[in-house]
Amino acid sequence: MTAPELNALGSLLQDLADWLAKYPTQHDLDKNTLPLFEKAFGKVQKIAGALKDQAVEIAIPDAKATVEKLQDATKEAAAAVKSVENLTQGLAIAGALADLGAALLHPTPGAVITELNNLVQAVQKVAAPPVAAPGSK
Amino acid sequence: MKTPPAPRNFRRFAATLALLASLLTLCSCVDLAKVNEFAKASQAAGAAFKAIADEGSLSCERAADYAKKTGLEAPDCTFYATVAPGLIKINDALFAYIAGLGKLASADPSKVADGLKDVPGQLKQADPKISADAQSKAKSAAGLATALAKVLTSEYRQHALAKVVEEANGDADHPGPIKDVIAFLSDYAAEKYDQGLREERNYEMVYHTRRVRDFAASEPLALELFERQYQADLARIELNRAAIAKYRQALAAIASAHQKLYDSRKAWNAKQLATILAPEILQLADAGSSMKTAF
Repeated sequence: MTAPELNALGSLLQDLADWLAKYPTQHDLDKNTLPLFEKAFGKVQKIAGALKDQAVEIAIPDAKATVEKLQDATKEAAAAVKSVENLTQGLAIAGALADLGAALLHPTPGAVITELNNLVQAVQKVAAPPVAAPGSK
Repeated sequence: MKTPPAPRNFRRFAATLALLASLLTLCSCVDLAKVNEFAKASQAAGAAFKAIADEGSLSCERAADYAKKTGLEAPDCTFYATVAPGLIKINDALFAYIAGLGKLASADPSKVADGLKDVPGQLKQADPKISADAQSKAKSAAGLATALAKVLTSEYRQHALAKVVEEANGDADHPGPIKDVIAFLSDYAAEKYDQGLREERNYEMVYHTRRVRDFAASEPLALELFERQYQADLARIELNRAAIAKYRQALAAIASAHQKLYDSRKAWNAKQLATILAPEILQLADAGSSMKTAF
């Protein structure tokens, strides 16, 4: 049986167990009938729990494989955060900016534009997309 | 009176400012604060899962105790010791991913300014004879460069976030991992814990029915205390079941919000994100609050 089938069957039996446990509380059963309900409940409840356990156990390997993919995505997000945090340090940009400042103070033809380009490149370089984690798409 | 021509370096500076200003206008800067808010609202639900798992184990022990007292075969509680740790890891992986999205969305590009603020001072240090005018220009340039860096950071951040969301979500033909993990946690893990609580309730109910039948006439006072305890236990179980239902509701809200992020990933803007994520953020806050009350 597949995990969804076990899960669905477990749910059906759990509903039945609920009914068997509740029925005697709503009806005045004689001393011979009540044990019959208790016994039936015990059997059904036990199987319902076992089916649910097994459904989870069968589904877990697939879930774990999927989780690995999700963890790759998490690593990628973390790497991206790190790139942003690196950028916030502003080190490379500060260097490029200082050069731009110098070009502005002592302008020579084309120097300001060159330094501005350098600044833009410095920002883009620090903010370059992270290298994908091994095994990730 | 004729205006004197502007100095050459001033004209260059003005041209630079115009260029930077046009660059800033061209770049789109999206406020991703709502993504972070969504991620934060999710965390309470994720954190409560361990309490659900712990309660599941205790619940099974109580059920086993009632079963023995009633002469029934006790439920097998080994599942909680052997399988539950794996379920907690799966839950943690999901919420670590959501937290990762939030962190990426909230990485603060304003800190870029920290590295740039001192440039005019550094220039003064390097050249004590530097004029106040030149320093002022450097300060203006630093301000614009800071703004430029913020825009570029923001664009990069948005791009990275969209890529991560895209891969985790997948499309109709190739569903990504987030949907499978959420389906597993809701349909199997949470379902099992709910079933375990029903099991405890049922065993206690059978035990209660038996005790009432056996002692209603002979020990009415003791039975009254017993009845109070029974009602309190039922209320606790239903509260815990409601919390599990809220956990599943939180999972559904996460799946829905993630799908919305995916669907709109190519045209995010602050207003639209606020509108589309608002219902899920409210649901998550409600679920988190209910779960805290229960566990």
